[in-house]
Amino acid sequence: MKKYELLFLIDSSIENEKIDEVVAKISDVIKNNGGNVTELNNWGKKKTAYEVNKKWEGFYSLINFEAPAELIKELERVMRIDERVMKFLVVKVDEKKIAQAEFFAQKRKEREAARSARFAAERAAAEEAEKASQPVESTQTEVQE
Amino acid sequence: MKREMRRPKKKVCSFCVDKSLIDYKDANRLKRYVTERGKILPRRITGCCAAHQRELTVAIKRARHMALLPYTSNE
Ligand SMILES: [Zn+2]
Repeated sequence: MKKYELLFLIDSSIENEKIDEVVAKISDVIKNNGGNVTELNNWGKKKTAYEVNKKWEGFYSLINFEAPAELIKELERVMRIDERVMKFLVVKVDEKKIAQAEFFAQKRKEREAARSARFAAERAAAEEAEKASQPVESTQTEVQE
Repeated sequence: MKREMRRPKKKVCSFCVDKSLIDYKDANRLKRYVTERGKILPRRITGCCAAHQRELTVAIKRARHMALLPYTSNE
């Protein structure tokens, strides 16, 4: 089984229940053909960048799933004949690339956290030093930084 | 001899630098790589390496297909 990602755009001029129905139907096509939905993420109604079927908005839904390769054809066939689905795109998920990007994003986060911790420590040390030098106010001219 | 005067500073590929993914769904990021009219910016302007520019082009085309980005806009 390979990992895929499906983004589709549903005609949002239909009733909300009908939108849910379309999402359920697409999910079922995956489930009933040996696939497995791992994540469903409804973006909801969004403006489109251009007019689609004479409308400037649509309901976007994103489904991550695992499936045997043969399922994709069936899934695309079902979406193509359903008039409520205005646009769709299935792409293979490159797990290696995602893992790599996540690894580097994590590294970056750690580096940034370390840097701000170092700054905080330096600031605290500077404040300490300042405090320590305060009681000897009279000799301040000698305690040049 | 004098060097070319208006030479822009050397650009580095931003995707190579932060090693992030090019996601066609991230229209906000992709917008930075198209003109106001929606045309894909050439490599000499984006500063992307060849591999990432290719990936970027694919992502922009996917985003256009899904109406996340315009093909061209005249507004
Ligand atoms: Zn690059």
